[in-house]
Amino acid sequence: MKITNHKSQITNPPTGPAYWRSLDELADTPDFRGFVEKEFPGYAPELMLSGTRRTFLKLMGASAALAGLVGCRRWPQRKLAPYTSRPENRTPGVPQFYATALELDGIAQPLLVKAYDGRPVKIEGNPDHPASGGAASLLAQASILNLYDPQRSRAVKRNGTDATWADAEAAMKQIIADAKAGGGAGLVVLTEPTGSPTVERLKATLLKQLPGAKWATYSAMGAHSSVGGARPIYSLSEAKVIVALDCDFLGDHPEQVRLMRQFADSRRTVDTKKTCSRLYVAEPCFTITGTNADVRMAMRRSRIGELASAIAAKLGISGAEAAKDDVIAKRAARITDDLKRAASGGGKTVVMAGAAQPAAVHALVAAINAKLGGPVRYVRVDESDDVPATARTLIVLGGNPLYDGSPDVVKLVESAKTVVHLSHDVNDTSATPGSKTTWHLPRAHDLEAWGDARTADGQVVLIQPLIYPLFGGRSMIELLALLTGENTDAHEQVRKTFAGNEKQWRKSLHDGFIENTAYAPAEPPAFTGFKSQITNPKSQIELVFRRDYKVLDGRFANNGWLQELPEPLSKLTWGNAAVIGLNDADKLGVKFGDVIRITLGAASAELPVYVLPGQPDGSIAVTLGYGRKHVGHIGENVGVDVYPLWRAAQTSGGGASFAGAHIERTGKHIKPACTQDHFAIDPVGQKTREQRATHELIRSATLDEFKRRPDFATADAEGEKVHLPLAGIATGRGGQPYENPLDEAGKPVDYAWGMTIDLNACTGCNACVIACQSENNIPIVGSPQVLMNREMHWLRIDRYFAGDPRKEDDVRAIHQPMMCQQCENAPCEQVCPVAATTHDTEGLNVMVYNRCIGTRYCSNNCPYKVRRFNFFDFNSRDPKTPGDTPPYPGIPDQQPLEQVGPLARMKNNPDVTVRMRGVMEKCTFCTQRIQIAKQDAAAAGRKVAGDEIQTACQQTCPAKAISFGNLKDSTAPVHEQYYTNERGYSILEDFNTRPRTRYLAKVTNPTET
Amino acid sequence: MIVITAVGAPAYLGLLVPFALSPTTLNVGYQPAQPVPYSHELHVNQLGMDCRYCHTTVDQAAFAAIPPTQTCMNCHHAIRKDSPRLQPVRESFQTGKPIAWVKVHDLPDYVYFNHSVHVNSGVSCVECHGRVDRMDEQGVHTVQNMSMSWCLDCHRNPEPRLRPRNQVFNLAWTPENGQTQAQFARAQDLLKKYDIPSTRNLTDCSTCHR
Repeated sequence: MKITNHKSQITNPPTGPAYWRSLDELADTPDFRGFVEKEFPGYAPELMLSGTRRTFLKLMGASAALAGLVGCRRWPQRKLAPYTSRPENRTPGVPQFYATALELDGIAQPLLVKAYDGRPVKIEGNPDHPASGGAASLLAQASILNLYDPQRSRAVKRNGTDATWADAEAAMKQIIADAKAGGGAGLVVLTEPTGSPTVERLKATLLKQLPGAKWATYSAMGAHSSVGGARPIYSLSEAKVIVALDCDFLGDHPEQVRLMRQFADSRRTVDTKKTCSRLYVAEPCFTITGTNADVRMAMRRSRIGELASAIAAKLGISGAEAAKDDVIAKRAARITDDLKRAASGGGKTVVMAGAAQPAAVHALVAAINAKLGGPVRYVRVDESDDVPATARTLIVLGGNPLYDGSPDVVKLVESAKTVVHLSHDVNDTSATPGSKTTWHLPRAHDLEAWGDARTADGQVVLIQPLIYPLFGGRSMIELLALLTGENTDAHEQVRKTFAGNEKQWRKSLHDGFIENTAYAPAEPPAFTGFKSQITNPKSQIELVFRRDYKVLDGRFANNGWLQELPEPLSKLTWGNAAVIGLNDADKLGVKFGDVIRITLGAASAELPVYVLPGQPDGSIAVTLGYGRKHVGHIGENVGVDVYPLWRAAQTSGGGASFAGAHIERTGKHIKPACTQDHFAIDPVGQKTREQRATHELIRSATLDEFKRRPDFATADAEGEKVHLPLAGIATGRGGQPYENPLDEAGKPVDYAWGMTIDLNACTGCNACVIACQSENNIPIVGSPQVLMNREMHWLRIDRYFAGDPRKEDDVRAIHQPMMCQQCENAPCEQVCPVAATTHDTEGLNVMVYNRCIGTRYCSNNCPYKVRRFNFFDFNSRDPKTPGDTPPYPGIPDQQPLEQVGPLARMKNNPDVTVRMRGVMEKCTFCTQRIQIAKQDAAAAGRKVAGDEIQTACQQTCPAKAISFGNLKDSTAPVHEQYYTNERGYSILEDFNTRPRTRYLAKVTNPTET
Repeated sequence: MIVITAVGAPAYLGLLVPFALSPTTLNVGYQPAQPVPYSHELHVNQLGMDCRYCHTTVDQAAFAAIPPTQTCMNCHHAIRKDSPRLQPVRESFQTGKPIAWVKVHDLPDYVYFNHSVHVNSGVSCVECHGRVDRMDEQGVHTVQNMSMSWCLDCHRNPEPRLRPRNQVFNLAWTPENGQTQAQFARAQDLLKKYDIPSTRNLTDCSTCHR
């Protein structure tokens, strides 16, 4: 075996293109060099302590003396408060799981929620339900933070002043009595989309009592792709060719979790069958779906319809207009040929259209799928409610129409004399000023109230509360029951809707769903012809509106986990930006962080620019949901509100895209908190930097290359291994270059934990990052600290680009989850002066917080840059503290636990230590789950099964990209992936760190161009 | 400065050293006043109640549950039902407000101790808690300092602390024939019988810290 050095790797790379993190890396700017060379660039502790050497010694002496005394203190007396009468089946300190659901966009995600002693702490997907399979989207998981949001609405408010529920009940009775006098005329109920059968039943009762009343549903820039009440249900598992036309089915889509799992299944066949699906994506801005495309076609939103029509025309669908220009014709030909080829070979093909596309495009897509026999069915949903023009009394159930409503919804709210708003927080709509009478009613969180909802295909899922309403909130069902004069007990109401007997009810509660309740099938939308109208001339820049991946339509604006989560493509935290392509940025003369003003009629917004390779030329993408005025502390002054622009675009006849906006430079420049260059891995070291090779980190090949060279991930074109071979931990030393001290003869251990991450399955959706944050009590730090490279996420997703950044179609992106690799030969352990990070017998690189003294040597020596340091007590520190606040001395940064607030502490997982300032932390492979599994196994007198333990990230991954388990158990799936999978590689193997985490290289499947 | 150091340093050391080494600092003998003068001596020693009658979860879960008021009232609704000393118990039962017991054995939050694992491995209550069956209405007090080195004494050499599983709750148990506990455990091969992990595994940081 020859061990080649770096030089030879670079001259003779294994395969694949070079990947880069950002335009800064591509240009190798000094800024980027700073990130590579130093973990915390710009961090100079000597500047903070502006005293002399003498002052320093005095301070150190004083702290040493005081430290001794602190050690003598007996910690505070603590009380034990047992139940007076313990509920059945409850063991203090042992978690319980309940099946429930979260409804977003009127579509339920089946969930399983973990509660300790009656306190919900973690949201996971319901493994028994096919729509979840155990996975949950990042929004569903992060919604637990909304339950414990300190700025949640805590009281009924009448015109902004506190009132009681008794007042509200009396007022509601009066409203109904007044409405009855006029037969209900003038009363309008405006709700968020909901599929709840109980709400449906109460709605019917209310409209029967008040025939003149109106019921309207609105959703801000909804993600619904149903047309005329027919909702498409796609099946991707078997698909050979998938065409997504402006359809972000792996990102902002109500069925994201199920579709992602099925899509990943269609890719996983590369190992077994040496074939996989092919995904075409035509989109107006880079989305998660776009990053997973085999062929990505960046194009303006207004032209997607032409492409769909051209495909249909080539397939011989009458009424469809053929392509009018070369670009569309070429693209359509490429897709159509492939669709025909796959369909004639008996393969399944699916074409999908996104919610932002007009009805005609959906009808086109339905016609194409019908023609090719794609696995798409339609179900009938009730979406017949139109928004009335005016109302005298308006009852708003959820939502925030004055912030995110379309122009007609805003007009409706403004026309009402009395507005009743049921809401989680006091938002723009609750705070309506003026001559109106406004009632704000606190709404119960989904984890606090009984309810029901439906999955996309209509199956009824039950929502059961895990905790009593913390602030006396009430659910939509309870308010409707109050209005109709029925029993306001939500449990009774849901039970009444449920037809079955008590035994069936209990079973459904346990399972979380009710069998055989799907919607009736519907006819696909009828295609009557398509004629393109070029409304957005090429000379004008087109604005593309989309909902944010994190705050969605703005409802999650006060959620710190989501605000600090790096956006999958731009890696922006705490705010939004105008996303623009490189060519347009040069034309406009702007770069990252320059503020531009977008003006559209009377509306304007000033946004920082983010230059994203792959953004179509002549198009700027903006995300909605930021810049809310009435919002809690976390969401205050975060990002810019672009809803006014969206409304102006709608009024002027645009839809989700609009051309004709006036765009100008303002000359201002800000520094958005962007993490794309943070923790950049340096694969080659300083000396060979000019020959940087990220082939090392990301390895990929096309399917053809993979068939030709199955060992592409570890060998060069001549079949020569370019990296050290994997050392066999289970097989012993056998001439390995490094002897594992854990392999002591005669002292075998039962377990060797290891992990594999399949880059072919990973879509970069971020669900794992939130799962990790929730499981491991990871605090948020705030944007000033993010700017200083101090975000605490144990698991980050590195996003790399490849291709020419000036060619919109050429740019590709790939995601790589990166966390502690649990090196067997860990560089961090060798430099810790106090042995706070050591190895355990099962191969975990463990971090002992109570022993750590915070030298940060370990972090400095970690080539993967996965260690995080608590510069402050982030659990008690306000994330909005300005970054230039000097940390010490004189400024207390330590607060007693009592000041953190009981509410903020309730989300914490009691199985994991909450870290104090001054200690290092990192991914532990969820050691708490390992320990608990081992204890459970010991109690049952058995060993832990190879795949019994699921880490938090693995558990929630919709694509099942992560495998974890005991490498000594040859029956565990992770064993095969770790040792024998052809695509397997370790990152930075040449450093001989021997990571216990291996990656499976990406295989793409593009057509020959 | 020099004067302060000259005077201060010996004074500081003189204060610190005895204080740091005093049993109070190491928690031995800590006996806080409890809201109810409960006597383990009476209930366990004289009446012969098993530990698990009240601490029901000790062999099933990490936390050895403090009994709910209901458990007290099972008997005390009839026995000594008017005793003034039981007033807090009756009050708690009527109002539904818990009795606020003071925690005697309080490990730091970063230590994850599991009662069931120890109890099911043949480690008796007495090894850590002492002869609780001899502790009277003055309340429970600590008999071990519960420092990390004390934990490690046993994790490095478990045998002297092992006994048959069925004798775990018999605090007075001693091996027959004058054997020491270690000799007994070795003779019975308890390490293997109870599948106790190797000392190396037992002394992994991750065993107790997460």
